[in-house]
Amino acid sequence: MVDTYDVDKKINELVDKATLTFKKETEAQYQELQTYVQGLEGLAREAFQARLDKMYWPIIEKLEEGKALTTAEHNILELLMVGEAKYYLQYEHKIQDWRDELKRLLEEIRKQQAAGLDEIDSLMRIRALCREALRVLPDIAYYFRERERLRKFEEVTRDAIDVETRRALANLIKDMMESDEL
Amino acid sequence: MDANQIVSAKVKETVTAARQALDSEDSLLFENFSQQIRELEEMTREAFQLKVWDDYKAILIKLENKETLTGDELEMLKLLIVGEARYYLKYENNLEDWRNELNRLSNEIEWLDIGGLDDIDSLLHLQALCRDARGVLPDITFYFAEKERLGRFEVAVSGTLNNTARQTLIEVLKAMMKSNKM
Repeated sequence: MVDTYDVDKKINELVDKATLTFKKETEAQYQELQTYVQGLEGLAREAFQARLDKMYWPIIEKLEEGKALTTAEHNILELLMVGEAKYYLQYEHKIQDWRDELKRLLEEIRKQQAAGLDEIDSLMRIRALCREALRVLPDIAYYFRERERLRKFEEVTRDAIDVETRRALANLIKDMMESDEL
Repeated sequence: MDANQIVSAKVKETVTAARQALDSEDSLLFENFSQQIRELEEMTREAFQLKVWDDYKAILIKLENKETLTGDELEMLKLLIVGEARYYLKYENNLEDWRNELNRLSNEIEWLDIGGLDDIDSLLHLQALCRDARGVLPDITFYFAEKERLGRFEVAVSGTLNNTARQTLIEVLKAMMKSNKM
């Protein structure tokens, strides 16, 4: 079972790797750094789940038996299901920058269009602008997807949870705890 | 409709999709906007290929006949093979922001570790920081991949082309003009 010592060790490795990457600045170094970040994220998730290990079984049982959850149990359920999304949204402050960047890129595309597309230079410029927009769009789509996921969870669990949703939630928790990805 | 008109019509469609997305906070509308941008990029590439078709054929014949390329032809060859990378690098000005953001995230991860990872809050915060870093890393990796690709190409065509380099260029050129992805 993963504990915080493993996470702590991985952070030290990541910080060393990041220092080296900032010095060398090559594609290969940045790709390796991505692997380290993914590894750390996975370990943090496992350590988080290990910490909740004793708390989620009673919740699953209650959900399966149709019993009402206490407020504390509801909070744990929320952490398990959408905790990551909640924290991501809480610490992500770049949404307005992304929107502004998209607006700027779009304005540039329109300027190129208005100036005419006969020149090779204009076409290459539009391709570069599209490439830039495609860099920002996944971030912004992810942000709103996570927000929608959080809202849906809050809607579903606001009132009494019906039998079908209870079963679905119980199964989801089991899947999450068994999977390396969730 | 000629290629330029098709690109121009697509720009209008993209602008409409962008307005819908930017006026909303709906992940699906942003995904639709991404799709429109991808299609615009593809159409622009096709319009570009159509514009350079005659030059491409002339360069290909010269390469196959082992004739020396003129300075203009060499420039066109560069545009054909690494033009997109050149334009992308020329107009991409977020590199310093990405570096600063990664540095900030790396420092925050380190501080979180120093503060201790014993509570659930720290572990979820750590996951959020990793997710944030995963958002930036593909951009910076792509930037250096393109820069290195451009550098390798410049080195390869800087002197007299040997048979292997010539053959590689012929194959790359043919593949690029056939493909709808390059």
